[in-house]
Amino acid sequence: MRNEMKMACVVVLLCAGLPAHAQTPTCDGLGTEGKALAAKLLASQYPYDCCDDTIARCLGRKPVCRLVHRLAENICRRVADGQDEDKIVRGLSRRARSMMSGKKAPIDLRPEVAPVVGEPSAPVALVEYACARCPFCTKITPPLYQAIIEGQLKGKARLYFKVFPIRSHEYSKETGLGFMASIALEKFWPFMLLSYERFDHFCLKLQKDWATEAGMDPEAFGQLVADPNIRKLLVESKKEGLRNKVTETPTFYINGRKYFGDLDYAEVVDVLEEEYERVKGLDHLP
Amino acid sequence: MDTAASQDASHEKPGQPRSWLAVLFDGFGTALRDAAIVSAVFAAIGVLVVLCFHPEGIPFIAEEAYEILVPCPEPGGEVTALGASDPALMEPTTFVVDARSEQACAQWRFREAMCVTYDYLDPTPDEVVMDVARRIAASRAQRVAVYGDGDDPDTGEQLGKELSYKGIKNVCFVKGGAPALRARPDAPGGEARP
Repeated sequence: MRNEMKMACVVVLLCAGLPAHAQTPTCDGLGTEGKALAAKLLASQYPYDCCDDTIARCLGRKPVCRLVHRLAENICRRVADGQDEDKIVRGLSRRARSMMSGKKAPIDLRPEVAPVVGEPSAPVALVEYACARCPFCTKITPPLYQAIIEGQLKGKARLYFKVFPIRSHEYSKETGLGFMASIALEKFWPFMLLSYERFDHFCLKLQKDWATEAGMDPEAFGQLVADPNIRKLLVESKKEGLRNKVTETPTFYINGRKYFGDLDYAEVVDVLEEEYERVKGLDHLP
Repeated sequence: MDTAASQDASHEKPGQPRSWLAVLFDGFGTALRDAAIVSAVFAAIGVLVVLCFHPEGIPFIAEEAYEILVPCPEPGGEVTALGASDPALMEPTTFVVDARSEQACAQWRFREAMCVTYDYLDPTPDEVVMDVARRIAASRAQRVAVYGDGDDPDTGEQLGKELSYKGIKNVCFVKGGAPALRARPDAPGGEARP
């Protein structure tokens, strides 16, 4: 009983220790237990840039760093998703590793090997290595494409696609060649979206039909798929990925830095917005 | 069974009237059991009714396939790096594999290396891997050294990882690949294994 009372006091103190202005919309929406966990994390974790104190204390300073506010929101979102303390701390650590790394990977972004979407002036370059037969890629790539075309990343980020066939995936070579052929025919994005949308219905003989639906000439598509030069480009794309230590798909690079964080849509978008603010020098909230 | 009540009853002598306490216990036990059964049945019916009519009730048949999605890894096992000048490469207990193209392997190979061309797009066929495993077993080798073109990435390292992933033990790759091996002062050449 005494222990329970002590615990309750600790929770109350932690909650009380969180300044009123430290609350963020996501944090405000948490229940009592969630708020206690969030308060504990905000009081123990440090932002990796902009402010040298704990996130909770940094939130209390004026002007508030955008990064600090973003990380606080991130912590509370994770708490709301039901993640435990260890998982949240690990996630934050991987995010910091991604954002603070100084090492930039050499990536060939020529249009013939890396189709791009997004406004050319967008300051954040997101490179995705993906396999045409990767189920995970089908879940994250189309929403990212939409966010860049017309969503919250419009004008902020560009998406480059690098084909990285995973050898153990059935038909990864054939579909990879199909993707490379669609790049040559300048119909990559509609073809990729169609191929991912119908991922579960794939069979090799349908590929040409899908190419036609995506606006390609089936004859030209077929010839390119069989073209040794297209194969060579695909092999080069794969080798480049291996040189850059790509070990799985999807693998993202943000302005040349490898991304180690959580591979969920919300997290990737959040990190891209953070990078945009960093590049634009938007350090503090108005 | 109503143990307390029945034990109490068993102490009574035949022909004697049962005590009021025994009768009370008997009735209480039976009532408790019946109440538990009735509660369980009504609770189950209640849950079923809620699930049937509640808009967010748990569906009896999944509407969407349950799936756990994880990033797709490029399969590869553990390999260690071996220097091109390592004396272990000359030992008979080391089985050597050449991962370069057939032509390159036919022109020059280290010792009697077995030619197994590595392809970046196609996995090595299972029958080829089985053949490698059989030959290693027949040679009684304790180590497999794979060398490739020496590029970055190196086909030797990639094939080594694939062989290791597919169950071949103690695989290493030669750093620098064929060019580094050819630079050895004692670089031996030989015939390819058939």
